[in-house]
Amino acid sequence: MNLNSFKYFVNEGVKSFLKNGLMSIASVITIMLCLIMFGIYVLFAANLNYVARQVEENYEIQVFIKDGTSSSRTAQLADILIAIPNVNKVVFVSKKEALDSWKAQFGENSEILEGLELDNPLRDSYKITVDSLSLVDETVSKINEIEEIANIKNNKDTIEKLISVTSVVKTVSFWIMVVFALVSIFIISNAIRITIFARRREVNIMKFIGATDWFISLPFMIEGIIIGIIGALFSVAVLSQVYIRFLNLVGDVFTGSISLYTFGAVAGILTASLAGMGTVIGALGSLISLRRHLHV
Amino acid sequence: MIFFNNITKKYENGTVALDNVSFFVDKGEFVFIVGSSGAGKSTITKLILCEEKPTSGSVLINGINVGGLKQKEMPYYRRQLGMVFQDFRLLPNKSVYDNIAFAMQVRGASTKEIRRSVPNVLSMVGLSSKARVRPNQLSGGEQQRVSLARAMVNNPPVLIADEPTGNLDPSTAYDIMRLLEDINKKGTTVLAVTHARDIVNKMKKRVIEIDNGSIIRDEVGGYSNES
Ligand SMILES: Nc1ncnc2c1ncn2[C@@H]1O[C@H](COP(=O)(O)OP(=O)(O)O)[C@@H](O)[C@H]1O
Ligand SMILES: [Mg+2]
Repeated sequence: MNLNSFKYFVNEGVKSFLKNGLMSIASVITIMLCLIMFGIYVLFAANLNYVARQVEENYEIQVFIKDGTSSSRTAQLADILIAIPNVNKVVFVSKKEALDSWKAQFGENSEILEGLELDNPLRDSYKITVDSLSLVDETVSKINEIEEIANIKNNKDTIEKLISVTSVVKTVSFWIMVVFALVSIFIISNAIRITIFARRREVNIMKFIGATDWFISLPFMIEGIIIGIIGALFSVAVLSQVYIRFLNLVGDVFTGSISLYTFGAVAGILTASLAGMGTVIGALGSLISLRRHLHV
Repeated sequence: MIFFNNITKKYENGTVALDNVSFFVDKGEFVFIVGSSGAGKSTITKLILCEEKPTSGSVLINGINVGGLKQKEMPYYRRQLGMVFQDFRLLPNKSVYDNIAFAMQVRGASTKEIRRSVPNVLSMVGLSSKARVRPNQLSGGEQQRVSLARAMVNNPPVLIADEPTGNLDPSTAYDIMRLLEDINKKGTTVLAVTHARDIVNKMKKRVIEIDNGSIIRDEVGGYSNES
């Protein structure tokens, strides 16, 4: 295809898009709604992965040491713990430190903890991070063998539950998105079919003048792609507003070690994937109806 | 060259438009096809363009068996034909200029070629001033001339014209026929369907006369006196 033909195709596609005013608007809105769904899916899945990764990275086992263990033995335990396979890092938290951080969490109301310094009910502990979450069970049983360990705080089950729930949610939302994509393709193909029907005499004339099917089809395909891309741009605009608002809303929940993507971090991938999806839907929609209705 | 070999065309409703018609037009010839309305003249042009398929017999154009063409080959075959349609068949959403340019675009002509050729054929048919006008703003005769300009813009080896002067006043009609004669002199085979008795008589070309689906006369000279 040379540059002249390309200009011609784009020109014709744009003209037809503009000429079909209402139909084009309806198609753009449909595809926009579909792409918003798709965008929500992309944002959701990306953040889910992001959060799961952070949870995994921040995962730690806390092992509490029995009262009355000598400080030298306690110090020795660090070496024993680090020697256990899969243990990555060992950090000592004295009971005083534990109480201080507890107080810090209470903030202004910390006076209710007043007096606890004298008889600190908390225990010395080690915080352990691991190399691999999947080997945690063995690691924990090894740690349990140590005499001086009072108990182990391990929220692995909660994390696993979280991860399995997120994978279900991801699968479900993926299929919802697929259904929306199919609906959009159907609607676009219908819109293009109506265009072709309205222009069947024209298409016929083109054929008698010696235009190939490709030559006749490309403007229609470009029209579909224009619909797709405009739909994508609108959906990015809507999603950016929604997402920024959403981040403000949940900002308080995600503080500390776990956070969500900022809009800036996902803007690029979101725009690219929505524009790509819009192009595919638009082109596919028009191709389907061209294949079925071009031979007039 | 154009070769109709024992062509019979029966339409789906049972009308026999052509009944065992055979004729041969050599490369570079100029031939008029005449006959009363409903005689089967347009059917001949439709068979050449492969708009209709013969019920029996075969059509050969420049050595190509038209009936044997595949769907994919059809556009390339049709580009060898310049066709002036009785019903013009102009694209309604395109200007006169763009309608003619379109015939060049389909074969991938460059903008430069288009800019050179389109004004040229427009001036040949006397429509330079209407280049930017849409077909629906033109008279029947003007649309016919646009159709002719489009048919000749690619310098096709064969030009088929179905009633190219049907809507024109006698003097314009004569100019158009002269134009067809000029194109023919440059080597294009011309097949012109017409009613214009005076012009046919004046131009002294080969005339094939059709009546009720059969050739009743095929000779050089004028219109037959009786019809
Ligand atoms: N598509 C068609 N279906 C049925 N009958 C047709 C069709 N086209 C033409 N005819 C009939 O075939 C005959 C020849 O038509 P046509 O070739 O158009 O004649 P002409 O061009 O000489 O006036 C006429 O009787 C006409 O009614
Ligand atoms: Mg006719």
